[in-house]
Amino acid sequence: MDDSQLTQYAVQVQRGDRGSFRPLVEALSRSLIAIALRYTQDWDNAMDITQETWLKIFSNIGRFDPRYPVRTWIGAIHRNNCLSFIRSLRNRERFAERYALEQERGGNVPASNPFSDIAHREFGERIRIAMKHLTEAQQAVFSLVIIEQMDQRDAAAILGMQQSTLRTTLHFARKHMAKLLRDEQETA
Amino acid sequence: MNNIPFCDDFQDLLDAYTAGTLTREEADLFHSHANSCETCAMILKIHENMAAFPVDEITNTIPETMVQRLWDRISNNRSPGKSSRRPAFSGSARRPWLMPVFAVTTILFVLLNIFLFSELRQFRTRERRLTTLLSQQTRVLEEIRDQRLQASTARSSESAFNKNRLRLISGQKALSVAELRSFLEQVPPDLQILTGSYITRLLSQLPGWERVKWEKALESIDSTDGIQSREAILLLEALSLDPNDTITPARLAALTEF
Repeated sequence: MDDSQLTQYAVQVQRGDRGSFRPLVEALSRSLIAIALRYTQDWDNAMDITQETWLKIFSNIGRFDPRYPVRTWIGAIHRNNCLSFIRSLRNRERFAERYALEQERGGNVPASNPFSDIAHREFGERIRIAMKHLTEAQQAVFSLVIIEQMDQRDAAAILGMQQSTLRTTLHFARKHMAKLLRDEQETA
Repeated sequence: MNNIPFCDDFQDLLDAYTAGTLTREEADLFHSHANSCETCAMILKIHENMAAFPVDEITNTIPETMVQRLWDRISNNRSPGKSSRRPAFSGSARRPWLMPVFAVTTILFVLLNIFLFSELRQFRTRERRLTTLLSQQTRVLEEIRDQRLQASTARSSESAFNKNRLRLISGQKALSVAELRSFLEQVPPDLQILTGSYITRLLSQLPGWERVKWEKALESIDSTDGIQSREAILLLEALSLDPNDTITPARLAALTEF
Protein backbone atom coordinates (compact mmCIF):
# COMPACT_ATOMS: atom_id res chain seq x y z
CA MET A 1 0.00 0.00 0.00
CA ASP A 2 1.54 3.32 -1.02
CA ASP A 3 1.83 6.45 1.14
CA SER A 4 -0.99 8.39 -0.54
CA GLN A 5 -3.44 5.55 0.06
CA LEU A 6 -2.40 5.28 3.70
CA THR A 7 -2.79 9.05 4.12
CA GLN A 8 -6.25 8.80 2.57
CA TYR A 9 -7.26 6.24 5.20
CA ALA A 10 -5.96 8.51 7.95
CA VAL A 11 -8.02 11.42 6.57
CA GLN A 12 -11.12 9.22 6.56
CA VAL A 13 -10.53 8.29 10.22
CA GLN A 14 -10.20 12.02 10.93
CA ARG A 15 -13.65 12.52 9.38
CA GLY A 16 -15.15 9.92 11.70
CA ASP A 17 -14.90 6.75 9.62
CA ARG A 18 -13.57 4.37 12.26
CA GLY A 19 -13.60 1.47 9.81
CA SER A 20 -10.67 3.03 7.92
CA PHE A 21 -8.46 2.56 10.96
CA ARG A 22 -8.17 -1.18 10.44
CA PRO A 23 -6.46 -1.03 7.00
CA LEU A 24 -3.93 1.38 8.52
CA VAL A 25 -3.18 -1.03 11.38
CA GLU A 26 -2.93 -4.00 9.02
CA ALA A 27 -0.61 -2.18 6.64
CA LEU A 28 1.84 -0.73 9.14
CA SER A 29 1.75 -2.97 12.22
CA ARG A 30 4.37 -5.44 11.08
CA SER A 31 7.01 -2.79 10.46
CA LEU A 32 6.10 -1.06 13.74
CA ILE A 33 6.45 -4.33 15.68
CA ALA A 34 9.77 -4.94 13.94
CA ILE A 35 11.08 -1.51 14.92
CA ALA A 36 9.88 -1.93 18.50
CA LEU A 37 11.55 -5.34 18.59
CA ARG A 38 14.85 -3.77 17.59
CA TYR A 39 14.48 -1.29 20.44
CA THR A 40 13.34 -3.80 23.07
CA GLN A 41 14.46 -7.21 21.76
CA ASP A 42 11.36 -8.67 23.34
CA TRP A 43 8.16 -9.74 21.57
CA ASP A 44 5.77 -8.89 24.37
CA ASN A 45 7.25 -5.46 24.89
CA ALA A 46 7.26 -4.85 21.15
CA MET A 47 3.56 -5.77 21.00
CA ASP A 48 2.74 -3.57 24.01
CA ILE A 49 4.57 -0.57 22.55
CA THR A 50 2.95 -1.02 19.15
CA GLN A 51 -0.49 -1.23 20.72
CA GLU A 52 0.29 1.90 22.71
CA THR A 53 1.34 3.64 19.50
CA TRP A 54 -1.92 2.77 17.72
CA LEU A 55 -4.04 3.92 20.66
CA LYS A 56 -2.12 7.19 20.72
CA ILE A 57 -2.58 7.61 16.99
CA PHE A 58 -6.32 6.95 17.27
CA SER A 59 -6.68 9.48 20.10
CA ASN A 60 -4.63 12.15 18.31
CA ILE A 61 -5.73 11.55 14.72
CA GLY A 62 -7.20 15.08 14.70
CA ARG A 63 -3.67 16.49 14.90
CA PHE A 64 -2.48 14.72 11.77
CA ASP A 65 -1.66 17.11 8.91
CA PRO A 66 -2.65 15.42 5.60
CA ARG A 67 -0.05 17.45 3.71
CA TYR A 68 2.63 15.12 5.07
CA PRO A 69 2.90 11.29 4.73
CA VAL A 70 1.05 9.48 7.51
CA ARG A 71 3.86 6.92 7.69
CA THR A 72 6.29 9.64 8.89
CA TRP A 73 3.84 10.92 11.50
CA ILE A 74 3.16 7.42 12.83
CA GLY A 75 6.89 6.62 12.77
CA ALA A 76 7.66 9.67 14.95
CA ILE A 77 5.00 8.70 17.53
CA HIS A 78 6.21 5.11 17.56
CA ARG A 79 9.86 6.14 17.96
CA ASN A 80 8.97 8.36 20.92
CA ASN A 81 7.11 5.46 22.51
CA CYS A 82 10.11 3.14 22.01
CA LEU A 83 12.54 5.72 23.43
CA SER A 84 10.23 6.35 26.39
CA PHE A 85 10.20 2.64 27.01
CA ILE A 86 13.96 2.22 27.06
CA ARG A 87 14.39 5.36 29.16
CA SER A 88 12.00 4.03 31.75
CA LEU A 89 13.74 2.28 34.61
CA ARG A 90 10.58 0.35 35.44
CA ASN A 91 10.41 -1.17 31.97
CA ARG A 92 14.09 -2.00 32.00
CA GLU A 93 13.60 -3.81 35.29
CA ARG A 94 10.63 -5.64 33.85
CA PHE A 95 12.73 -6.58 30.86
CA ALA A 96 15.55 -7.78 33.12
CA GLU A 97 13.11 -9.90 35.15
CA ARG A 98 11.62 -11.45 32.07
CA TYR A 99 15.05 -12.01 30.61
CA ALA A 100 16.23 -13.74 33.81
CA LEU A 101 13.10 -15.90 33.81
CA GLU A 102 13.69 -16.92 30.23
CA GLN A 103 17.27 -17.84 31.08
CA GLU A 104 16.05 -19.95 34.02
CA ARG A 105 13.72 -21.78 31.67
CA GLY A 106 16.60 -22.46 29.38
CA GLY A 107 16.07 -19.61 26.93
CA ASN A 108 12.38 -20.21 26.38
CA VAL A 109 11.81 -17.57 23.72
CA PRO A 110 9.70 -17.81 20.56
CA ALA A 111 11.46 -19.63 17.79
CA SER A 112 10.86 -16.72 15.47
CA ASN A 113 12.65 -14.25 17.78
CA PRO A 114 15.67 -12.99 15.86
CA PHE A 115 17.26 -11.87 19.14
CA SER A 116 17.12 -15.30 20.74
CA ASP A 117 20.93 -15.42 20.93
CA ILE A 118 21.68 -14.52 24.57
CA ALA A 119 25.02 -12.81 23.93
CA HIS A 120 23.45 -10.76 21.20
CA ARG A 121 20.55 -9.72 23.43
CA GLU A 122 22.87 -8.93 26.29
CA PHE A 123 24.96 -6.63 24.16
CA GLY A 124 21.82 -5.05 22.69
CA GLU A 125 20.58 -4.30 26.20
CA ARG A 126 23.90 -2.66 27.05
CA ILE A 127 23.58 -0.47 23.96
CA ARG A 128 20.10 0.64 24.98
CA ILE A 129 21.23 1.49 28.51
CA ALA A 130 24.19 3.45 27.14
CA MET A 131 21.86 5.35 24.78
CA LYS A 132 20.48 7.21 27.79
CA HIS A 133 23.80 9.02 28.09
CA LEU A 134 23.77 10.39 24.55
CA THR A 135 22.57 13.91 23.83
CA GLU A 136 19.03 14.32 22.54
CA ALA A 137 20.21 14.90 18.95
CA GLN A 138 22.62 11.98 19.13
CA GLN A 139 19.84 9.74 20.48
CA ALA A 140 17.53 10.74 17.63
CA VAL A 141 20.16 10.13 14.95
CA PHE A 142 21.31 6.87 16.56
CA SER A 143 17.71 5.64 16.79
CA LEU A 144 16.89 6.35 13.17
CA VAL A 145 20.11 5.33 11.48
CA ILE A 146 21.50 2.58 13.71
CA ILE A 147 18.44 0.99 15.33
CA GLU A 148 15.81 1.57 12.65
CA GLN A 149 18.47 1.38 9.91
CA MET A 150 16.90 4.23 8.04
CA ASP A 151 18.68 5.75 5.06
CA GLN A 152 20.76 8.77 6.19
CA ARG A 153 19.06 11.08 3.68
CA ASP A 154 15.56 10.09 4.92
CA ALA A 155 16.66 10.42 8.54
CA ALA A 156 18.01 13.93 7.88
CA ALA A 157 14.71 14.89 6.23
CA ILE A 158 12.68 13.55 9.19
CA LEU A 159 14.88 15.30 11.74
CA GLY A 160 14.94 18.51 9.70
CA MET A 161 18.72 18.72 9.56
CA GLN A 162 21.30 18.75 6.78
CA GLN A 163 22.81 15.42 5.81
CA SER A 164 26.31 16.66 6.69
CA THR A 165 25.07 17.63 10.18
CA LEU A 166 23.49 14.22 10.58
CA ARG A 167 26.75 12.52 9.57
CA THR A 168 28.72 14.57 12.10
CA THR A 169 26.16 13.88 14.85
CA LEU A 170 26.20 10.17 14.00
CA HIS A 171 29.99 10.14 14.08
CA PHE A 172 30.08 11.59 17.60
CA ALA A 173 27.19 9.40 18.73
CA ARG A 174 29.06 6.25 17.68
CA LYS A 175 32.28 7.40 19.34
CA HIS A 176 30.47 8.37 22.51
CA MET A 177 28.60 5.07 22.58
CA ALA A 178 31.79 3.08 21.98
CA LYS A 179 33.54 4.89 24.81
CA LEU A 180 30.61 4.29 27.19
CA LEU A 181 30.53 0.59 26.38
CA ARG A 182 34.30 0.27 26.72
CA ASP A 183 34.27 2.04 30.08
CA GLU A 184 31.46 -0.22 31.23
CA GLN A 185 33.36 -3.27 30.03
CA GLU A 186 36.50 -2.19 31.89
CA THR A 187 34.55 -1.51 35.09
CA ALA A 188 32.93 -4.94 34.86
CA MET B 1 50.23 1.05 14.62
CA ASN B 2 47.04 2.12 12.90
CA ASN B 3 46.97 1.51 9.19
CA ILE B 4 44.15 4.01 8.80
CA PRO B 5 45.59 7.34 9.92
CA PHE B 6 42.42 8.68 11.55
CA CYS B 7 39.55 6.95 13.31
CA ASP B 8 37.27 9.36 11.45
CA ASP B 9 38.09 7.54 8.21
CA PHE B 10 37.06 4.27 9.84
CA GLN B 11 33.49 5.47 10.22
CA ASP B 12 33.42 6.57 6.57
CA LEU B 13 34.52 3.10 5.52
CA LEU B 14 31.98 1.47 7.84
CA ASP B 15 29.03 2.26 5.57
CA ALA B 16 30.86 0.92 2.52
CA TYR B 17 31.83 -2.18 4.55
CA THR B 18 28.16 -2.77 5.42
CA ALA B 19 27.16 -2.31 1.79
CA GLY B 20 29.94 -4.72 0.75
CA THR B 21 31.55 -2.24 -1.61
CA LEU B 22 35.06 -2.18 -0.06
CA THR B 23 37.94 -3.42 -2.20
CA ARG B 24 40.06 -6.26 -0.82
CA GLU B 25 42.84 -3.83 0.17
CA GLU B 26 40.40 -1.44 1.83
CA ALA B 27 38.79 -4.35 3.68
CA ASP B 28 42.21 -5.47 4.96
CA LEU B 29 43.00 -1.95 6.17
CA PHE B 30 39.57 -1.72 7.76
CA HIS B 31 39.99 -4.97 9.73
CA SER B 32 43.56 -4.15 10.60
CA HIS B 33 42.47 -0.83 12.17
CA ALA B 34 39.57 -2.49 13.97
CA ASN B 35 42.04 -4.95 15.54
CA SER B 36 44.37 -2.21 16.73
CA CYS B 37 41.87 0.46 17.89
CA GLU B 38 39.54 -0.49 20.75
CA THR B 39 37.10 2.35 20.13
CA CYS B 40 36.66 1.52 16.46
CA ALA B 41 36.40 -2.18 17.33
CA MET B 42 33.53 -1.31 19.66
CA ILE B 43 31.87 0.83 16.96
CA LEU B 44 32.09 -2.13 14.60
CA LYS B 45 30.62 -4.44 17.25
CA ILE B 46 27.67 -2.08 17.79
CA HIS B 47 27.15 -1.87 14.06
CA GLU B 48 27.26 -5.62 13.58
CA ASN B 49 24.92 -6.19 16.50
CA MET B 50 22.34 -3.82 15.10
CA ALA B 51 22.82 -4.82 11.50
CA ALA B 52 22.47 -8.53 12.26
CA PHE B 53 18.74 -8.38 11.74
CA PRO B 54 17.56 -5.64 9.37
CA VAL B 55 14.09 -4.21 10.05
CA ASP B 56 12.80 -5.51 6.74
CA GLU B 57 13.96 -9.01 7.58
CA ILE B 58 12.22 -8.95 10.96
CA THR B 59 9.09 -7.48 9.36
CA ASN B 60 8.91 -10.39 6.99
CA THR B 61 9.10 -12.90 9.85
CA ILE B 62 6.10 -11.42 11.68
CA PRO B 63 3.06 -13.59 10.98
CA GLU B 64 -0.34 -12.14 10.08
CA THR B 65 -1.83 -13.78 13.16
CA MET B 66 0.27 -11.44 15.29
CA VAL B 67 -1.23 -8.43 13.49
CA GLN B 68 -4.68 -9.88 14.04
CA ARG B 69 -3.93 -10.33 17.76
CA LEU B 70 -2.71 -6.77 17.93
CA TRP B 71 -5.87 -5.52 16.21
CA ASP B 72 -8.03 -7.41 18.72
CA ARG B 73 -6.19 -5.74 21.60
CA ILE B 74 -6.55 -2.29 20.00
CA SER B 75 -10.24 -2.88 19.29
CA ASN B 76 -10.86 -3.89 22.91
CA ASN B 77 -9.13 -0.77 24.10
CA ARG B 78 -11.01 1.42 21.67
CA SER B 79 -14.39 0.10 22.81
CA PRO B 80 -15.70 2.22 25.64
CA GLY B 81 -15.99 0.35 28.93
CA LYS B 82 -13.54 -2.39 27.94
CA SER B 83 -10.37 -0.45 28.50
CA SER B 84 -7.72 -2.74 29.92
CA ARG B 85 -4.62 -0.52 29.94
CA ARG B 86 -5.46 3.02 28.99
CA PRO B 87 -8.65 4.40 27.44
CA ALA B 88 -8.41 5.47 23.82
CA PHE B 89 -10.41 8.54 24.67
CA SER B 90 -9.38 10.67 27.58
CA GLY B 91 -11.91 12.35 29.87
CA SER B 92 -11.68 15.60 27.96
CA ALA B 93 -12.41 13.82 24.68
CA ARG B 94 -15.62 12.35 26.13
CA ARG B 95 -16.64 15.68 27.62
CA PRO B 96 -15.40 18.31 25.16
CA TRP B 97 -17.05 21.10 27.20
CA LEU B 98 -14.99 20.26 30.28
CA MET B 99 -11.73 21.98 29.33
CA PRO B 100 -13.28 25.26 28.05
CA VAL B 101 -15.47 25.47 31.18
CA PHE B 102 -12.47 24.82 33.39
CA ALA B 103 -10.41 27.41 31.50
CA VAL B 104 -13.16 30.04 31.71
CA THR B 105 -13.69 29.33 35.42
CA THR B 106 -9.98 29.67 36.08
CA ILE B 107 -9.80 32.96 34.15
CA LEU B 108 -12.86 34.32 36.00
CA PHE B 109 -11.39 33.28 39.31
CA VAL B 110 -8.11 35.04 38.53
CA LEU B 111 -9.93 38.18 37.34
CA LEU B 112 -12.13 38.19 40.46
CA ASN B 113 -9.06 37.94 42.65
CA ILE B 114 -7.37 40.79 40.80
CA PHE B 115 -10.54 42.91 41.18
CA LEU B 116 -10.87 42.13 44.89
CA PHE B 117 -7.22 42.85 45.56
CA SER B 118 -7.40 46.18 43.73
CA GLU B 119 -10.58 47.10 45.69
CA LEU B 120 -8.91 46.18 48.95
CA ARG B 121 -5.90 48.26 48.01
CA GLN B 122 -8.10 51.28 47.16
CA PHE B 123 -10.03 50.82 50.39
CA ARG B 124 -6.82 50.80 52.39
CA THR B 125 -5.57 53.92 50.60
CA ARG B 126 -8.88 55.67 51.31
CA GLU B 127 -8.73 54.57 54.93
CA ARG B 128 -5.21 56.01 55.28
CA ARG B 129 -6.32 59.32 53.72
CA LEU B 130 -9.35 59.55 56.01
CA THR B 131 -7.25 58.79 59.08
CA THR B 132 -4.81 61.55 58.13
CA LEU B 133 -7.67 63.99 57.49
CA LEU B 134 -9.32 63.10 60.78
CA SER B 135 -6.14 63.66 62.74
CA GLN B 136 -5.66 67.03 60.98
CA GLN B 137 -9.23 68.06 61.81
CA THR B 138 -8.79 66.98 65.42
CA ARG B 139 -5.65 69.08 65.64
CA VAL B 140 -7.43 72.11 64.15
CA LEU B 141 -10.36 71.69 66.58
CA GLU B 142 -7.97 71.46 69.51
CA GLU B 143 -6.22 74.62 68.33
CA ILE B 144 -9.58 76.46 68.01
CA ARG B 145 -10.63 75.31 71.48
CA ASP B 146 -7.31 76.45 72.91
CA GLN B 147 -7.66 79.85 71.19
CA ARG B 148 -11.22 80.27 72.49
CA LEU B 149 -10.15 79.33 75.97
CA GLN B 150 -7.30 81.80 75.82
CA ALA B 151 -9.60 84.55 74.42
CA SER B 152 -12.21 83.89 77.10
CA THR B 153 -9.59 83.99 79.83
CA ALA B 154 -8.10 87.16 78.40
CA ARG B 155 -11.52 88.80 78.13
CA SER B 156 -12.58 87.95 81.66
CA SER B 157 -9.24 89.10 83.04
CA GLU B 158 -9.47 92.32 81.00
CA SER B 159 -13.00 92.97 82.21
CA ALA B 160 -11.99 92.44 85.80
CA PHE B 161 -9.04 94.73 85.27
CA ASN B 162 -11.21 97.52 83.88
CA LYS B 163 -13.75 97.26 86.67
CA ASN B 164 -10.99 97.36 89.25
CA ARG B 165 -9.48 100.31 87.48
CA LEU B 166 -12.81 102.12 87.48
CA ARG B 167 -13.23 101.44 91.13
CA LEU B 168 -9.71 102.67 91.76
CA ILE B 169 -10.39 105.84 89.87
CA SER B 170 -13.75 106.34 91.60
CA GLY B 171 -12.07 106.27 94.97
CA GLN B 172 -9.87 109.18 94.02
CA LYS B 173 -10.55 112.83 93.27
CA ALA B 174 -13.12 114.01 90.81
CA LEU B 175 -12.48 113.30 87.12
CA SER B 176 -12.68 115.82 84.34
CA VAL B 177 -14.92 115.06 81.35
CA ALA B 178 -11.78 114.72 79.18
CA GLU B 179 -10.28 112.17 81.58
CA LEU B 180 -13.53 110.21 81.64
CA ARG B 181 -13.67 110.17 77.80
CA SER B 182 -10.05 109.00 77.64
CA PHE B 183 -10.88 106.21 80.08
CA LEU B 184 -13.93 105.17 78.04
CA GLU B 185 -11.85 105.01 74.89
CA GLN B 186 -9.38 102.66 76.56
CA VAL B 187 -11.89 100.10 77.83
CA PRO B 188 -13.57 97.55 75.46
CA PRO B 189 -16.37 99.22 73.42
CA ASP B 190 -19.06 96.78 74.64
CA LEU B 191 -18.28 97.20 78.34
CA GLN B 192 -21.51 98.19 80.06
CA ILE B 193 -21.24 101.51 81.91
CA LEU B 194 -24.83 102.35 82.93
CA THR B 195 -27.84 100.01 83.38
CA GLY B 196 -31.36 100.91 82.15
CA SER B 197 -32.70 101.19 85.72
CA TYR B 198 -29.85 103.51 86.70
CA ILE B 199 -30.63 105.82 83.76
CA THR B 200 -34.30 105.96 84.82
CA ARG B 201 -33.31 106.78 88.45
CA LEU B 202 -30.77 109.36 87.23
CA LEU B 203 -33.34 111.10 85.09
CA SER B 204 -35.78 111.27 88.02
CA GLN B 205 -33.14 112.91 90.22
CA LEU B 206 -31.99 115.51 87.68
CA PRO B 207 -33.44 118.98 87.76
CA GLY B 208 -35.96 119.80 85.03
CA TRP B 209 -33.72 121.67 82.57
CA GLU B 210 -30.91 119.10 82.91
CA ARG B 211 -33.34 116.16 82.57
CA VAL B 212 -34.60 117.64 79.25
CA LYS B 213 -30.99 117.92 78.08
CA TRP B 214 -30.26 114.26 79.09
CA GLU B 215 -33.45 112.96 77.50
CA LYS B 216 -32.58 114.73 74.26
CA ALA B 217 -29.05 113.34 74.35
CA LEU B 218 -30.33 109.82 75.10
CA GLU B 219 -32.53 109.94 71.97
CA SER B 220 -29.40 109.76 69.83
CA ILE B 221 -28.44 106.36 71.29
CA ASP B 222 -30.23 103.14 72.10
CA SER B 223 -30.33 103.02 75.92
CA THR B 224 -32.93 100.30 76.43
CA ASP B 225 -30.32 97.71 77.42
CA GLY B 226 -28.16 100.17 79.29
CA ILE B 227 -25.21 102.14 77.98
CA GLN B 228 -21.93 100.55 76.80
CA SER B 229 -18.62 102.40 76.74
CA ARG B 230 -18.88 103.39 73.06
CA GLU B 231 -22.45 104.75 73.68
CA ALA B 232 -21.19 106.55 76.73
CA ILE B 233 -18.72 108.44 74.52
CA LEU B 234 -21.58 109.41 72.18
CA LEU B 235 -23.64 110.47 75.18
CA LEU B 236 -20.81 112.73 76.43
CA GLU B 237 -20.69 114.33 72.98
CA ALA B 238 -24.48 114.72 72.86
CA LEU B 239 -24.51 116.40 76.28
CA SER B 240 -21.94 118.90 74.95
CA LEU B 241 -20.15 118.93 78.28
CA ASP B 242 -17.12 121.11 78.82
CA PRO B 243 -14.01 118.88 78.83
CA ASN B 244 -12.83 120.66 81.93
CA ASP B 245 -16.02 120.06 83.84
CA THR B 246 -15.53 117.71 86.72
CA ILE B 247 -17.50 114.67 87.71
CA THR B 248 -17.58 114.24 91.45
CA PRO B 249 -16.47 110.99 93.15
CA ALA B 250 -19.99 110.51 94.41
CA ARG B 251 -21.31 110.48 90.87
CA LEU B 252 -18.57 108.15 89.78
CA ALA B 253 -19.35 105.83 92.65
CA ALA B 254 -22.95 105.85 91.52
CA LEU B 255 -21.80 105.07 87.98
CA THR B 256 -19.76 102.07 89.08
CA GLU B 257 -22.07 100.76 91.75
CA PHE B 258 -23.01 97.84 89.51
